[in-house]
Amino acid sequence: MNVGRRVRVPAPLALPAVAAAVIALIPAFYLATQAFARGAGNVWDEIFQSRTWDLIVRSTWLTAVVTAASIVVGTVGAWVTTRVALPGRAVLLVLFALPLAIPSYLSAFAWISWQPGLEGFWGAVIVLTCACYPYVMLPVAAALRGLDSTQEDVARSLGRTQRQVMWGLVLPQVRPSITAGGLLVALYVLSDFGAVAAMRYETFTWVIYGAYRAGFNPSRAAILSLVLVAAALILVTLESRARGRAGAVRIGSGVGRNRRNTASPRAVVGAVVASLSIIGVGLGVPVVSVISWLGRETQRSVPWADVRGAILDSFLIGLLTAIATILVALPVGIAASRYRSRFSSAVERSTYVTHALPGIVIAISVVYAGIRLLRPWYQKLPLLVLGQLLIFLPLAVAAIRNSIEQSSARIEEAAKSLGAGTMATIRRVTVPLALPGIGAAAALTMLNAMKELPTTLLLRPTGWETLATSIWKYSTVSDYSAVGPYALTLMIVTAVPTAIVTSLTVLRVSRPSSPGRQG
Amino acid sequence: MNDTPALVVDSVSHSFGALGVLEGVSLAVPRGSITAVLGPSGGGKTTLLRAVAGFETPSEGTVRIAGNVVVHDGRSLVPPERRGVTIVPQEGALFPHLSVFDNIAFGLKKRRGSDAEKRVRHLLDVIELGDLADARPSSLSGGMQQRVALARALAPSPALVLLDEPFTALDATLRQTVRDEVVATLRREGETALWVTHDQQEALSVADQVAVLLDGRLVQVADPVTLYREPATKQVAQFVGDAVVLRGTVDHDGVHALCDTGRVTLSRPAVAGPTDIVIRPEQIEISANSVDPNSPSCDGVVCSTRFFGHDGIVDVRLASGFVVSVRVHATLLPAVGECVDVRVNGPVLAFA
Repeated sequence: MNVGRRVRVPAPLALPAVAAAVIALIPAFYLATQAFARGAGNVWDEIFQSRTWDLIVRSTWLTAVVTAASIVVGTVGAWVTTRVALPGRAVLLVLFALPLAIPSYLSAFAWISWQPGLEGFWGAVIVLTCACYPYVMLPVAAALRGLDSTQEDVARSLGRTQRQVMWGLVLPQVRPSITAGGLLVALYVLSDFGAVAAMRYETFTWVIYGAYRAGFNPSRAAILSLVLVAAALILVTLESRARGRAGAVRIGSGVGRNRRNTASPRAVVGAVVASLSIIGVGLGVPVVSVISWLGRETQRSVPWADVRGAILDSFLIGLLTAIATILVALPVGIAASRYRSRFSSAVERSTYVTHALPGIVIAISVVYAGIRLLRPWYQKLPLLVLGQLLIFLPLAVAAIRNSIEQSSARIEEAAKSLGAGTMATIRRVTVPLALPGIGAAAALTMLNAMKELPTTLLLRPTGWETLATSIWKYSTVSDYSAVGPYALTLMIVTAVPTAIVTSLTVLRVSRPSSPGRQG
Repeated sequence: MNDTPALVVDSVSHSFGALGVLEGVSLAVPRGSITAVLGPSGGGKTTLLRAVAGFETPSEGTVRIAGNVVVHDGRSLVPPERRGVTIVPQEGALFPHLSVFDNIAFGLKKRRGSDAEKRVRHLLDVIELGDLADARPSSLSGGMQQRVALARALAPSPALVLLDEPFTALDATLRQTVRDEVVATLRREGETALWVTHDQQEALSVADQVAVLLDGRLVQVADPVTLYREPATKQVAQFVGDAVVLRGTVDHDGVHALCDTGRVTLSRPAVAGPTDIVIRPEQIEISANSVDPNSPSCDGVVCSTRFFGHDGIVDVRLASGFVVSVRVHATLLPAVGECVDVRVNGPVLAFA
């Protein structure tokens, strides 16, 4: 019944929301200023250079191959975990999702230390596919689980074979989820810095970093960033459209009843082989490599003080980023979910702008902003937190918005009719109800901030070393025995929460939703 | 006693875009009474309720609560939280993060202290859930949740309680019991209530006054008996109960009419001439007649029967060919093809 309702966002919510939007627009603003600093002609010259075109071709090729590979692996993974009668499928799904937790630069170094010859295109393809296929697998598995199994029974009763049902009925219905997942993968590949840098495969992010580090041509870095952002924007737009369509599949509207899973010997053998390969390549190689690095460590003593320092720095940065991000995202999320208007959706969209900005681009633009605008903060903690906040703001806003929309607006109306004012309702009802979702968003932000590389590399305060930058520092000089302790710590710190979150999601999907509505 | 009505709705109109949902609705709810707003879904009931509660601002008209103007000509003068109007939503909408006790205490000015404790305990006793004060809403059955929602709405002693189809989420058997309990509670506490429903039996059985809302217009406001016996229009007649509609002609005396079932008496005088005659199924009485179904002295022939246990419906084809449905005791169900005498008891309605 929201049709035609005119709503005004209350001022105590509107002011911080506008502030959040302004903060979110900083990178785009500084990027544009810097790119056009030498005039529009220079922009065209830079773009129409043959080396720029080389870069475009290389980036596009990598993106296309990784996306295709991720779609295949992710769809197979989803099929194995939802449709084949294997014991312990829930555990399997969690294992399949775990590569999400391993930062791409870490698994890239893991592969190189094992097979130095892989450096280059194919190495990048392997590492990025392992990092990305969960983005396809998770939504496709959810869509497969959400499909009404009676549809398939009906099709079978009308004379279709199992294979025909799969290709003609099931696949078309999960295709929107595959598309949405694939676009997400493409976006990830375009913005990834760690894997291509470790594999020394020159794509946009790596070259932008180089141009920035070289220092003599900041506007080239900004111009290349603009090209990258344009490509990312296209992907973001396509992705949000595809996601809308994916939502039309009845995901989450209940458990498929009486689903019979294929237990034919061929399917089971195929599933086991597929599972072992996915786990072996995605999880096995990085884990075994890291452990073998630790084994080399015996030759010299571990610098425990340094490791402890890196852990503390990572935690502190992660915690501050999480707190700051949630505080900035909260008013936007509330306004966007409960006070829908042109104003609130404009504010929300502004915070999504950084979603199209690769981490390295945000980092560079925050450096510019720091030099021009926030000089006292330059190379200090607040600027790093700002950079990280900009990266994770879109995720946090979306998560908060979703968790608020989980609860019915009627509950807040009940609160208002009982005499609670706007802010009191937010404090006493909206936020407490959304707390699990807000907490999850905070935890996820902290986790991602701890393993984030490019922004930390560029913006960390002098003398600070996090787990991520330590791994980077030693790996780039192939000192893997020194990397061991940092890598293992980071893996544990990020893998455990990822496993918990994934298994919770799996459990929630297989349980009847919204408890307590019926007697 | 103060006799200012708890709620006065005066010429309220509202539209969503081009779609008009309320047109010139006027209604007064006296203190301590229950008024039901009865209408089909999409008829504007919920919009009216939300306009009173303050979640919707009607584009025209005035709303007064306990004598104070809260809405006037498209402007909301008092926000929902200061109207003194509480709601019992369709599915309860209890606060899932609070205990039953805290849910009920939510609207109290002071939520701590002995007064609050006393008030909440009293309401817990009233809804007979005294031992579930610390329970979470999710552990309650649907019926219990609805009772807690009512207690929560009553706690701050509102000027008016709004009930929005409060029992649609419950199954049929439970609905009756919970409804009786809720009405008893409202009566005992002397509360004023505006009760929105699409269920005519519910409206007729719970309310002191029923307002029929059809296509955004209040067609009739009356007590349940008057509404059922003397509906203002044929539409209302058909909406508030089962009705058999026959074509007929009003006599020159204006108080009798001739229709397919013979000569009937009208409940109120009508203009002579062709008319629609509305008869309640329970007014029609049939009795077995042993004559040949084809003979001209046969009133009607049974063409089908439906058995419900305690009673049944018999479809009778009248001599004119028109089929009427008659409600009879289950023990009296005639056989299909039998000839029956048809008689109409009591006065009937004529709508020209």
